[in-house]
Amino acid sequence: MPTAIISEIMESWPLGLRLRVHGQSDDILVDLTEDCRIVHAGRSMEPGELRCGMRVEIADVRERTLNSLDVLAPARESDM
Amino acid sequence: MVDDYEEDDNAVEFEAGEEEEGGMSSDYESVSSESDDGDDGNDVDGDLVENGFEMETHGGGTLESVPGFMEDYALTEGFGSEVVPIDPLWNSLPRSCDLEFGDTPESVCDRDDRVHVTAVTRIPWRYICQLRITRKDGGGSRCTGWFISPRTVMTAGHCVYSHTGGGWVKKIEVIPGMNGAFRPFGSAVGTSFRSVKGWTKSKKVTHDYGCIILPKSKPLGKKTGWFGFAALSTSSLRNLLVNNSGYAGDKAFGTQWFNAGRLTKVTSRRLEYMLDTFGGHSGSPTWRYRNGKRHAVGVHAYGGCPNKSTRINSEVFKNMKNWKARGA
Repeated sequence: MPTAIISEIMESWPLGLRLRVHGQSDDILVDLTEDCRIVHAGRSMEPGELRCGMRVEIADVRERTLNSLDVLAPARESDM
Repeated sequence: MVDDYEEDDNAVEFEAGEEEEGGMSSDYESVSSESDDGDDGNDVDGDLVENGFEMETHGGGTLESVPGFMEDYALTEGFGSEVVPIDPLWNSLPRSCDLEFGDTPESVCDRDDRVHVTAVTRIPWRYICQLRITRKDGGGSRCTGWFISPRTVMTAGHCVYSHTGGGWVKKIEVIPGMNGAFRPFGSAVGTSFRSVKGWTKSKKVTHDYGCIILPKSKPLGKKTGWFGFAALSTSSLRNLLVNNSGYAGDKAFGTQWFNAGRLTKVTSRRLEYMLDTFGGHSGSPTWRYRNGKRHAVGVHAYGGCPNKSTRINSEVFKNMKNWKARGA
């Protein structure tokens, strides 16, 4: 399973996550519950448990998502 | 030379469907009363302020207080109020319907002190809307919005343009003051949207804002009134007490939840705070309440503690003024 760090949590419902995938220079965007599961410490995480900066694994990525994973430039403080 | 931010704040728009007629062409809020602490501070030089429409939308008079009398109903009778039973499907989303949320949801920072807003027909709660979104890929999602003119509803950029859902959304049902099955002002479907290149093209979290322009036949803001908004200087924003209210995804569908607190960090494009929010709050107003006037200073969009709003800076303010005029 690819590992990533949660960089942003979009507060629509369902949640949108911006993930910094290990080994990639760019971020991806996924919809929690629709595109994948998020696993932390061997356990599937629920929306109420997610935190920015959390290191997670991306599990059960849907095929549609794999084909359309949105590659993004990482958010930098200079953007803010 | 064009500043990057200016370019990223270039407005972009989307029109779909025949029903669209829009054309191209502080202080802590008191949940139960309209209190004002009498602060007479003035905005500092450089602050840009656009006032809202914060008048009662009836012709005056005061209702007698009679135990058991439903004031909320009386205040909105004739406004197209509806009671629409909650479809269990609305309250569920893929794999989230059976979730048991922990005691500390991701964006409820420390103690959860959110308050359920029940006086939804009152100012300012009635300016705030549940958004039911149908995305381009057919998927559904929920956000929050708020009126800044009769037909302009501000929200987050990712609520009108979803990078994971195929781009511009197909339609959004706007339900002001929703409280469970009660829709005191009815609802309207919008298919005309605005955002900025910084979000739709560059996908910058710092440019995550947009709006819905409702059809000309549905100026719901005339019934509800609307928020003012302001581009305040960093010194005006630092440590400012702000309010936020929105439709939280971890609560019963269509119920509005309030929280307030201090801004903990102010950057050129974002505001950070530990106000408690949750998925579904995206697009909700973060506002200053002072001298009896309410001015939104941010558009809530992100959680994770600290939670974050897109700051209404001068560029955002300029776009909002244009969008407000479009929906006037």
